[in-house]
Amino acid sequence: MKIEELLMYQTDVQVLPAGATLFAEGDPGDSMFVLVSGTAEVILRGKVIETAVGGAILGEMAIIDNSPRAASVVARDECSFIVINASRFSELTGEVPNFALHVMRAMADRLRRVGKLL
Amino acid sequence: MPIWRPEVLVIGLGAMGSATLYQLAKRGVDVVGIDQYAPPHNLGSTHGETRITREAVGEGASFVPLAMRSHVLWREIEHESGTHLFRQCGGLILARAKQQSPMHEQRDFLGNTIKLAGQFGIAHELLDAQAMLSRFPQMLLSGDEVGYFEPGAGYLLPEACVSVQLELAREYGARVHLGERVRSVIPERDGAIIETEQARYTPKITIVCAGPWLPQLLRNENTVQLCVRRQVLHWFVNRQPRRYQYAPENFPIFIWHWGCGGNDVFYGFPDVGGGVKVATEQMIESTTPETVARDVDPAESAAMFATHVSGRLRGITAPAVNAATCLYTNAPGANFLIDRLPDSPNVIVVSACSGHGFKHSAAIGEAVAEMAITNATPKVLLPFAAKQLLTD
Repeated sequence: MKIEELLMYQTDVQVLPAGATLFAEGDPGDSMFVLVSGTAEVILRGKVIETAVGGAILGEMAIIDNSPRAASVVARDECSFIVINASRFSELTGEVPNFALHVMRAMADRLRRVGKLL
Repeated sequence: MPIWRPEVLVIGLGAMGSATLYQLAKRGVDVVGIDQYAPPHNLGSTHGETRITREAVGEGASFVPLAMRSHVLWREIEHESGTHLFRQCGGLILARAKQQSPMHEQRDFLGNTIKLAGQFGIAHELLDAQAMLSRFPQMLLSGDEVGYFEPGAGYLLPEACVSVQLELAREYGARVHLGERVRSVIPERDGAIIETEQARYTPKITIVCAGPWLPQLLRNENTVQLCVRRQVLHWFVNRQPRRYQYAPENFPIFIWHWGCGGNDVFYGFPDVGGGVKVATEQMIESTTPETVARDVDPAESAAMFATHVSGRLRGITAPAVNAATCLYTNAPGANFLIDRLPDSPNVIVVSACSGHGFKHSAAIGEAVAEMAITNATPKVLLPFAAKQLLTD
């Protein structure tokens, strides 16, 4: 089973209109999100560092280390997100093979992207 | 490839599987549950915000004990978990006087419901159109309707029911393996060999609760009779909330036979946050979980509104604000199939849908757990044996 597929069919969905903020840099974070449809911008200190599309994982850092959000995410058009709260994250990490690796890959990809911008 | 040898393996963790896993774990059984996705998910038959539950189930007397026991169990699970799962907002079943009300293979669904309520001592009221209108002014009636109102009926929150039972099962020691697709189930005389993408399992008892995936996972003379059908759920909003209240405090779940034909019926729910959910059932076209059209064409919701909702629910307007598909796994006679495989008695097949299964899932999980532990079939499950299916 592909992790992307498994995540896309979760039932806890949040819909955001165009222009709305999913979370802002510095906010406390207790959930991770998977973008199901639409496009969203990841913004760091006022600069767009990534345009996220379907399947993108967002907000994973805060849920891992309980730190404030490292960046902001704003819906470019209407977006729907799967919401994965801390207990669900813990279940998936423990019970889905390669889930943790999938999240780590997403984090590594984002780190490289930010690194190139520095 | 790792090899697991649990006492019991539960394949599929939707409504039936999660309930069975919970009941087994609670009894201290060494049990593993596996699912190809991470339930609750929206690909099977256990999603879409709400499910109707009622005790006097017009589908037949054999289902009533399951519904009644499930109502007790839902409350117990709520108490144990501290999670809200079940709202008794009342349930109204209405039809035109002196006309048939066909549903779930019963010609007189309303009449059966009333008869069974009397037989099992289930609290209810019989209402004429005037009484229904004074109680539920949201409805537009023709004037010749008769209604059965069951105050203890209501709705369940299916995603929460699954989540909570899986959480409790984990707490009781069950192991849950998610994202693990079963490649094959090979029944044997004394057990079964189950191969997944990640592991091999040789449990003493195997319980297959694979929902719409069951017919392809375990093919035999019984499962070939199961038929998977696409259904569509629609949500509409009330544009006159001051005049007409659709909150659960003011509005019941309903099954509304507005005509005498099999397609002249729809069912619905109060607004629990996302709008008033309504749906019909189609029992003609078959599909599979892999090939089904998951998206809902706005024309489908428009047709639903025009045919069933318009002129019946005051203030509710098109277009739909949401829609979703789900799958029924239908057995002949709208029955369930819960039985051991004839040549592999340690493999138990559970297919309890036919469009009316969710409400019974707590009691079915309990009874199937007993079936697995005791090697005997609880009396409450006897009507769902394979031989009953073959005679339908």
